[in-house]
Amino acid sequence: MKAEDWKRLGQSVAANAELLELLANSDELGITTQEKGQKKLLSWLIAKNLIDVDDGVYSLSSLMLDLGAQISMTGFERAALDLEESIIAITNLCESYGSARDSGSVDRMARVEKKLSLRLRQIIKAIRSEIVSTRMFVEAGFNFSNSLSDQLREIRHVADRLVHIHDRLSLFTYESLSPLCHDDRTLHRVIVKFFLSALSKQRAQLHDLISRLNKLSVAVRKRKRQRQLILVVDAWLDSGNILDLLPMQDAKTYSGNIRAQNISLSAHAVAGHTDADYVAQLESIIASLPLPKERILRDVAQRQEGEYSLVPDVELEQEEEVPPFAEPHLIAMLEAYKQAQAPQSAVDYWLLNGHPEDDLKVWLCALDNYLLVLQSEVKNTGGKLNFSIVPEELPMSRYSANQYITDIWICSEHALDQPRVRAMHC
Amino acid sequence: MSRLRECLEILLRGGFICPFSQPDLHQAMLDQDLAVRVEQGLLPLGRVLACIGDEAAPDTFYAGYASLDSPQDRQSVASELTWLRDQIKPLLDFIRLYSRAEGSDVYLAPGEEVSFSRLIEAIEANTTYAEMLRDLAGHQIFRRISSARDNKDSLGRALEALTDEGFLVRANTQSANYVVTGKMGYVFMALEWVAAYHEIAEPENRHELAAVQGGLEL
Repeated sequence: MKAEDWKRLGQSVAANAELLELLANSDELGITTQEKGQKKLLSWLIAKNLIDVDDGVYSLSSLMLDLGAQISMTGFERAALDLEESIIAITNLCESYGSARDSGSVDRMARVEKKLSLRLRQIIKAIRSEIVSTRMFVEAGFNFSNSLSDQLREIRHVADRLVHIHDRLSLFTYESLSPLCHDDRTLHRVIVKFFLSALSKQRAQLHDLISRLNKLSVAVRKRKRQRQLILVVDAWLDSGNILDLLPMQDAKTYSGNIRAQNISLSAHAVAGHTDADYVAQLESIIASLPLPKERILRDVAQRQEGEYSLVPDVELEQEEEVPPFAEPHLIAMLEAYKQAQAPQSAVDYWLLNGHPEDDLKVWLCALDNYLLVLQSEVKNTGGKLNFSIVPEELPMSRYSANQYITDIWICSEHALDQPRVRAMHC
Repeated sequence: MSRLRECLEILLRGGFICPFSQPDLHQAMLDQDLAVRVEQGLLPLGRVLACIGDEAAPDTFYAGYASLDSPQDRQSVASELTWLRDQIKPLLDFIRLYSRAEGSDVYLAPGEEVSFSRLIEAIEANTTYAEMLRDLAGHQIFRRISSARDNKDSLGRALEALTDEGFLVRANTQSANYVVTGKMGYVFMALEWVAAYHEIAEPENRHELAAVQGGLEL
């Protein structure tokens, strides 16, 4: 400790001398912020734990109480933290007080009473400090240690401390302390009214703390169990086992715990409501709806040059219609018929016009198909062909439904009986 | 909206009410009257109010099936269990990374705070952790990691995926830290079943793990 620290201690004590006296003379509950007044250099004393602050209540630390008693009282000895010794000291002080009272020494009585009060306050202070530090430890949730095992060990340690305090508190009961008073009102006030009532408050806090510690212990054990569960299942899966939870739905203990799946909660806005408020709200919602998206069709004439055209400018390429193969030949045959006024043979036409004989069957087939199409088209329009078609057919085969056409004659409807003269092919 | 309706809507949507995702609603649900009314509201729909934790003061509430008599409910249960099965391995892999990187016994317990900065610091400093993070992309739930730019992006995506699934919530709107929700308790329930059904080795110190212990009673 440096000289500077001692100077700082002296300055702080000197600056707060009145407050320290006030704190030394206060009861075990200490004094509140409003009462303490002097604040100069107080924070340093608080920072060094020479003055305790608990929920805005200030009180002297055990060390300062000892120091105060040491410098103000002759023959004062520091109270031992061992409460068994404390009860012996209290007994001795009570006896001293009794002998002073018997000898009629008022001064000695006052001195002994002061010593007794301080001793009792030190006991209360020591127990309170233990409880406060333990409470802080519990409230911090044992986050000092990362390992759950360490946390459990710490809980056990704190529990042992609390048990030890509780055992020591059991020494201070009404039955053990009341006889020390010897029916003296002053001793009764100091020991029973002040000390035992303060002790009972500490005892209540201790029980509360034990209950919290108990819950914390259960929580940490549960965490430890879950942690171990994760490790074993993880290892089990890593060793190649396949996870299948479906049998879980048949397990009585678990089936009721399976989460129910999502239910759709949709509803229709219009459901026969006659309530004016509902209808008004619905109207306001409808009014606030965004406008429907519409494509704005501007006048085509107003379109700027270069803007895309609604109808593509590109002219569609139209393929030149190819007339059916038989059409020009049929027209030629009809021209020939018109000039000759005699039935025209398709075979003659084909061969006389120098077409190869090998294609004769193709020509007859094409002409036949074309004439069928022509007939159906004319029929659909309600008309009829202005010429007649007379096919020359071989007799029907017994084994086939196909009709073999050997020639097709074109003639007038009124000249069906006209003789059909076949040209002589060279 | 009334508390009753809020609770019913969350539960019927398949949600969980815990002190970390809906602190106000959870506190309200600890009131017996509201819990009874919620239970009554669920019953006509074939649901019951299920709880995780202490019966007197449950940690988490959710909706379960009143019975499995209906074929539709049995089918729903089967698909729920399939979903749950598919979550377990990815979550265990993430927990493995998380606890190793944190260097402690953390395991995504409900209420645990997951610190982004601490995790990324550990991952950046250790290539094994970075590989473990990248490997998570093989799971469907973490598939978005595969297109991540770097470790930081990957971790962010992994935590976002867990948030989207409801296992985490942001500690607050500005924070990069996350808090584990009560939904993880539901996963732990499934793990309990797995361990019991498949008779996997019992955790050590079984005798210490009783839910109630009286060692501190004076």
